Amino acid sequence: MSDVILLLMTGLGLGALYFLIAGGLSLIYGLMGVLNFAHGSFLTVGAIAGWEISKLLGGDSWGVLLISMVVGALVGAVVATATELLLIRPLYLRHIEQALITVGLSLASVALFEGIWGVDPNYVSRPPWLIEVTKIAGALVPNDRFLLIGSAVLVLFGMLAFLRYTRFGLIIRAGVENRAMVQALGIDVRRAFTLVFAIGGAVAGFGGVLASQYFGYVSPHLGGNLLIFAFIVTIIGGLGSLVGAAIASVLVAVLQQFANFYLGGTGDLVIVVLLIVVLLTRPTGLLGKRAH
Amino acid sequence: MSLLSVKSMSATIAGQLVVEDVSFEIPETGITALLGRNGVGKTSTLRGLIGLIDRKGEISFGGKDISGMPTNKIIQLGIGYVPEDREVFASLSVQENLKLAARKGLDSRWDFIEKLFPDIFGRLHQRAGTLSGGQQQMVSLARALVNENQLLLVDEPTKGLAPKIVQETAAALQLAAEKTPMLLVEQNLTVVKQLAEDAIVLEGGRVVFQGKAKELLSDEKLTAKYLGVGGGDE
Repeated sequence: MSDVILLLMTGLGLGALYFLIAGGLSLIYGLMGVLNFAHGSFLTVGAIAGWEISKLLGGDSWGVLLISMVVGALVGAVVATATELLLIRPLYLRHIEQALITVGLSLASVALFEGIWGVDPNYVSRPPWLIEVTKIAGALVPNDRFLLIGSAVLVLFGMLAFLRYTRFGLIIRAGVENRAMVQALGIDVRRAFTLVFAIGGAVAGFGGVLASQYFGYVSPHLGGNLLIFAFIVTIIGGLGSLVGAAIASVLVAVLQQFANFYLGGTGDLVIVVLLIVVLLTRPTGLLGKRAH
Repeated sequence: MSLLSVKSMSATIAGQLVVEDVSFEIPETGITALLGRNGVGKTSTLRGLIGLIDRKGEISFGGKDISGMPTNKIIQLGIGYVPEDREVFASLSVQENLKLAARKGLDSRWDFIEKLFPDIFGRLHQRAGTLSGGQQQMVSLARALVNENQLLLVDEPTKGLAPKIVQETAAALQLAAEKTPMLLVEQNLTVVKQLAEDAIVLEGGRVVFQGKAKELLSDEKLTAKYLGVGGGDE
């Protein structure tokens, strides 16, 4: 029983990280048709920025962690916005070129991070409570899981509220369904593109700080390692659906943990099989409306 | 003076020429019908006018050159577009569809819309995707009419609707056209007869007739030649 609880909580924690990347990826693809391979770099740059600021401020207090989270989100948003304005926008509606340029950016950014911060992991300081464990029904659950899960839930509801109650949210929801018609109502859909990139970048940068707390370090490959699973999550959840991404994040991460533990480390294989099954039986994903 | 003037416009979809060389003018009042057999490029002409597909040529609206403008800017000059197949946002509520379209808030034209389409006002919070075809058409029209426009572009508004709904739609169009001139693509010639003062006929991507609608529709030879029917219903 304690194994099950520990695996479940670890899966949920990892799922939270997947969601923080996949949520942005899904909205970006849903609205713009852009497969953003640079999204992992937004996470990495957020993690590095958060780590740098925490070194600068020193200490392992909650206050410092909170500031790193804000800084990580801001840096993620700025980098993502710049990416959209400088690289994606000039290639408007040329989806293959857009995807290729994000592949290039992700490779170049990893090289850049390695050049500046080295290839080895840099360990982060954490509030003491996060390193402790909490006993739940006999299982010793590391406390960082609670932080990850709580944060992801807040981000999910924050994004849903934004989509539901703001005019930009309305434009984004409509644009995911029919971009041309939004334009034909006199709305500049490109501004919504930039905003979605900024939000996706902020959430990924925030996720970067959380990832560094979960793994205990930052490295140039932090985002890239998570990105592949985030892509799988995005496809299983249904491109363009935030709730779909959230459900699929939990599904993928929990399944991965259980398969790794009970099926001899076959977590990644099981996920790929799940992806294949979903694509064969429900090509638009769990909550996806249509393919672009 | 004409409100909209089009000179040798051509348009392409994915490199394929769909409008060859179209020139016409739209007067400042009333309904002008854009007619022609299936596939002659009526919808593409409309889409080309507002830049939804690639187009070339001289297009001026209210004296302004709009041939190089992006779609959203053109619409903001005061054009209401009602696309073929309605294209309502299925996952949004009726109210959200209207809110999205309203360039200056919903209040100013609310009463007018309510008078025209009482049916959809009882369903403001329903998802547009769950409405009937006729109701979706009402939402699509209402989306164009929530704004104070200079010109309406309406593409096959009665397509696939039941006869009773066709008449309701025609009545709504007539009322809307009292305030705003309209370029109307319509296959149902009864509706055209009822509404249109002027007519433009396309054939093979070119304009082959421009003049009074009456003149065209009362001449059976012309109608048969251009529209492939002997007048009357579709």
